[in-house]
Amino acid sequence: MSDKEIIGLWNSGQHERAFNEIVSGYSERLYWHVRRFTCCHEDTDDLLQEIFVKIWAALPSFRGEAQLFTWIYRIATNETLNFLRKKSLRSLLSSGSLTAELERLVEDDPYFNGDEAERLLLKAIQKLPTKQRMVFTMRYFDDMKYEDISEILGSSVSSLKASYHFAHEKIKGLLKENF
Amino acid sequence: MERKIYHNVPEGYFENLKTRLSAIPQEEAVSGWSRMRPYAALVAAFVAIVTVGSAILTLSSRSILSGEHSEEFGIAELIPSIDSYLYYSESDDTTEVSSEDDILEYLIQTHTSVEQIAYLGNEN
Repeated sequence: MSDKEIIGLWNSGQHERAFNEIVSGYSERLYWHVRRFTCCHEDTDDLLQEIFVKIWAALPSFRGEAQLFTWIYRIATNETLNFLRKKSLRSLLSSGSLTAELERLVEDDPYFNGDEAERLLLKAIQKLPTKQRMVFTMRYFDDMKYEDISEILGSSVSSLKASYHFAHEKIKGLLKENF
Repeated sequence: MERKIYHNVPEGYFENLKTRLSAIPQEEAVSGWSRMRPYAALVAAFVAIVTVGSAILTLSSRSILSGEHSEEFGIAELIPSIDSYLYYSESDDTTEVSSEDDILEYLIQTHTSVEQIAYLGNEN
């Protein structure tokens, strides 16, 4: 079902049906979106529950000014950023760092099924600053348009392009060190 | 949108996930009242305290106006209500130390950046 039809369902008062359509259309996509930042299946699973609770609670205030797709991704991205911020503080309190923790998760991930080069790529991505990591991940893995990423992250297209360029250069450098 | 996926998930995970997520509207309808219950109890307790308090005040002010306890009231006014020893006591604060979760919650709510915490940590 298209986003327009889902909004139509909601506006006609079929709230639960509209929500179920969102679950059908977005749960898997959001799983991969969140998983790329948390690097952990269990954390992603917990976070998805919270994200969909937020979506259900916020749906009455959706005015249709943004696309449903970017609105949903914005909620998911903000929740993920909050989660990473908490995780980062937790790591600091135990004298560690979020980057090291994420790299460890990539290394020990029991659900990883790529090759060694792909594992190195994922580890290099964890070394990027948050904004660059977000832009690079959405462009490289999901092939999202800059305009959509701009709506999701609330940044201008030009600054996103610059972030992607820096991220790309850093990753290239990091991968060269390993080959 | 084309996606590059380097992971797999437990078998049947997405079907199970969709079933769980679809139950959110019903769960939220039930938990809505569960969440409100403590607040409702708080409001009820507050109303009870105000009612009883105003009843006591009304009764006591009536007796004061009728002159029953005027002498005792005057003496009580002259006695300091706070013992200076207690007031300036330097005894240790026995408040329990917050848990790590409380500290994290506080830092998140006060928008303290990770960099600031790292800086303060290094200073100490």
